[in-house]
Amino acid sequence: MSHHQTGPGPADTLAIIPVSPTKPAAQLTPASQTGPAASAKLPAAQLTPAGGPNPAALLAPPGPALARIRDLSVWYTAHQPAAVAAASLDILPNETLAVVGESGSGKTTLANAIIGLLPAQTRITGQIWLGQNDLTDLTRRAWRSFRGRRIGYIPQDPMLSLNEVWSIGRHFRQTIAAHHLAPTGWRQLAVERLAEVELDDPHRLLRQFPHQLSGGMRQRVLIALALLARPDLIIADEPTSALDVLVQKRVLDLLGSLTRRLNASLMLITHDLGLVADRADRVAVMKQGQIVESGSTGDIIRHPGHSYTRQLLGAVPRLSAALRPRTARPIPQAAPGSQPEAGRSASQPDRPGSQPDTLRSIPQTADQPALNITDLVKDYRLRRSAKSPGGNTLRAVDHASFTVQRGECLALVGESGSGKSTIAKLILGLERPTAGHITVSGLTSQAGRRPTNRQRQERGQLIQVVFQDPYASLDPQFTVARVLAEPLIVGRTARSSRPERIAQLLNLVGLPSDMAQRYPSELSGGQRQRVAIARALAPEPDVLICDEAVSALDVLVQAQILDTLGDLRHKLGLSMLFITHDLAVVAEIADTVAVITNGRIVETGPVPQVFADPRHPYTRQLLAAVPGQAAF
Amino acid sequence: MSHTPDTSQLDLPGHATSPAVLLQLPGPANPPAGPPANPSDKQERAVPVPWYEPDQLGGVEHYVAPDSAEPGEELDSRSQDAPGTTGKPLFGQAWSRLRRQPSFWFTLAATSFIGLVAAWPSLFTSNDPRRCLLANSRAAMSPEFPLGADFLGCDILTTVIYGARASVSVGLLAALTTTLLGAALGVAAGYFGGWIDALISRITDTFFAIPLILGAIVAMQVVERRSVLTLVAILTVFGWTGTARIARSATIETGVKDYIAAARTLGARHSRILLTHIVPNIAAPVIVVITMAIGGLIAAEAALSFLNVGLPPDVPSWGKAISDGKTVLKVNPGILLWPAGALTFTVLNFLVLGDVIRNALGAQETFR
Repeated sequence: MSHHQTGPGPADTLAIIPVSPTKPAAQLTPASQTGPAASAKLPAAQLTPAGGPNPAALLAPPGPALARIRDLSVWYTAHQPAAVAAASLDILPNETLAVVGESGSGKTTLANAIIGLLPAQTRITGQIWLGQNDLTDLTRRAWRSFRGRRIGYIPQDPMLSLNEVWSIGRHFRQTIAAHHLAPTGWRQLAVERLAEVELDDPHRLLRQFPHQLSGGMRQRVLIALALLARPDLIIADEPTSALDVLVQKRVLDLLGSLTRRLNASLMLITHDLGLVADRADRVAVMKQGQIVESGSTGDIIRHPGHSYTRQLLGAVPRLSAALRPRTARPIPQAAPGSQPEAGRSASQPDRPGSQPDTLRSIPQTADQPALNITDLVKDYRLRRSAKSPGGNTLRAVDHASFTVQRGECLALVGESGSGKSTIAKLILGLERPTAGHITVSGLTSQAGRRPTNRQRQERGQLIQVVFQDPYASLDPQFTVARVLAEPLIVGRTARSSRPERIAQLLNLVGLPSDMAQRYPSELSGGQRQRVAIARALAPEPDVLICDEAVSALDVLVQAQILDTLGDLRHKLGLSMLFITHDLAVVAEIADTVAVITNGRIVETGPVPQVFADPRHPYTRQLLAAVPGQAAF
Repeated sequence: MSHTPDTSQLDLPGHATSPAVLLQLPGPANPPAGPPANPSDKQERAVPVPWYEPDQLGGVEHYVAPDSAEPGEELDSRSQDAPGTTGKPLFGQAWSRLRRQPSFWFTLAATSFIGLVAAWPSLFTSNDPRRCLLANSRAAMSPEFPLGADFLGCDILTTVIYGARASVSVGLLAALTTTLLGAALGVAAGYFGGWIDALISRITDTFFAIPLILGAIVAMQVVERRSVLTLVAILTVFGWTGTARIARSATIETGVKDYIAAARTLGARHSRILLTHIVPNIAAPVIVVITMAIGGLIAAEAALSFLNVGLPPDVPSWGKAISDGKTVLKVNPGILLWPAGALTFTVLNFLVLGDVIRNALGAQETFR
């Protein structure tokens, strides 16, 4: 590697790094470092391989760092750019260091490099010092005394990280045996450690299997396993991104208090700047493999130095946005009968004058809500079991009722399994309700009947949906043009006017019209989500359902898509049902909010009111668990 | 703690002299101890070797990389996909992979050759397969009989060449019909679910339980007129279950995708969803099953003809030729081995072709 070369320095000078031709020093050299950076603690003699007075002096640094990453670069394949590019970072004792970045920024690669979990053919340059050992030089055998023993690892997805056919006890037994932690008996230690992560009845737990535990319990088991050997350094790679917000708070609280008590350092890999603000002492911001900014958390959040950090911070959805006046709101709590919408749709001043004709204005009748569900119930029949020979029913939606007024954005907030997505499916006609009524712009559908093709098509003209995963919601075999042509064909738009409509739709969601010939695999996640929005808008629906539509996106893209959705809402007079788990996103986009848990809607109201004064204890819990409130 | 260095630690200075990004910078300290050794080194770019331990953490602690990004950068235009994934959907990608594989071109050439022989056998021999003279019985290899003659005095080469037609036409036709029947039933079961699925799946299981050859032997004995078409029909009836199962599971897998839900939300008819979304997206596994099945069906035809319950005696076929040769295997092994070799080559060719295609399509697992 060319950036390893060094000018041969005389023994009494500092070695000076020549500017590398491949990695311009401009990228790597902090301006602030060019100043009086040399320390008196650095006898120059140490730098010369020969004639250094005492090599041990190099190895006995009095300094505080627990681990030092120096100039680490990682390539997965020769023809791809480095996944981590010349990253240098210190991990201090007893600190929580957060590594933040978007997906693909190299943060997981960095973590995997430290714990030695990179694939075999990966090329690594640079060093990772843990104490006096360079981890990049370790043999497989030598790794055993580090991995699990000095470095603990907490994986991202607790649902995938335990062996389903092993009991919890076997996981402990194996780990304890591997590190010779309890020669006399593993059970005692396992029980102690399970109690330490606040799991009840550890003896019983040891006999249980992973599928019997919830995600939060699994993650706590994984924490207990990671801490078994009392490592100095714990690497947690997005430890809670698969968990609900309440569970996330508990797990992170636990992890924080344990690492503090054990005097360990925690390297927290995350994409969530809210978590960083709440929990990290220091932050390193990664972008495309490089660490673009690092420093103490408060410093970086208050005075971000790098434009990328500023962008990231600017894009964070803020809970405080709830209290912002809803200026953008199209219908300011109108008294019934005053018909403000009718007046608005007549004028439509903010529509682009060139193409309003095909994007029809919503036929707005003031007294008719855009969407109303009344006493909606959905039961699922569960498989028969020994306990319930008749088969059990699971009530996914329990007498849910709410109304989305015209032009309003109602956010349906809940954790996973709360029934919020089931409500979306029921409204869309993808599932049939057990009981209750759904009225979309005056078109009522009742429980029990399978909708005919014609009914589905009628409903499709009134209500459309954008799904969560932009990778699954576009047919990989279709070009963008074909994706957007589908609603036009179904809606019997004349063949001759389709290309024009497709161009209009692309324009509407902020995509260039030359995207039409691309395939979804050629688009980024944000672009795909824009195509999905364009498809949903093609039938000119009255109501748009966004089912976690921004949850799978990185924070910058998320902010852009939220902006686009907000613009479209006002431009087209759309009513929206915005389904999400993220209260900060609700604060950014919604007018009213309905909180759902266990299939029941427990609180509804205008966003400012509910957020300022939550009445239901569950709403209060949810709001309290939103990370980053103090900082953002 | 031991301070004994090992070799990796001895070359520390060499390692450490790189333009590293440091989190901690020492507080106000001595200026650099001396000028750079090499005057050509850019001094202002130079960074001190990071191998020191800043124990005063006060002072500069906030590192910012040089900033090159324009603030207004259109961020979501950045593709998140790994480089190397082209935009082409499944079949485009599979084709570009196939194109680079010699084994694909080899099997394609062999398949074309077999197809040509089957279609125009007279291009390869001027003999009539039915012109057999007992006088030539078991004749040795000669210019007149390049591979010798069989028990009845028929030219073996001519038999082998004309036998290709029966084998290949039965194999291809039966593969086509089993696929059509199996895929239609499998897609219907997977897409509509419920009682339709239950019914079709039980029928599939029932037929799956009947061995192909056994069922065909029984059925061929009761048909009035044996011909290529009756054989194809019977192989179809007993052979469609594999395709149906594959098509069903692929349909279920595709059916839960959000783009299917989106199409349903738009109000698209079932026929439209089935033909434009489901069928193209399950084509890959079904194509693999077909190509693999051709070889098996050709072998099945040969087995039936060998047992004299396949094609009628006047249609030249490899199975029948092998059957004729088995009595004189020890004396004249050529009579059996040449048609057997042709059969093996053909079956192997289609199996390899299926394998090559499966690899080309199968590497798509990550393709979402």
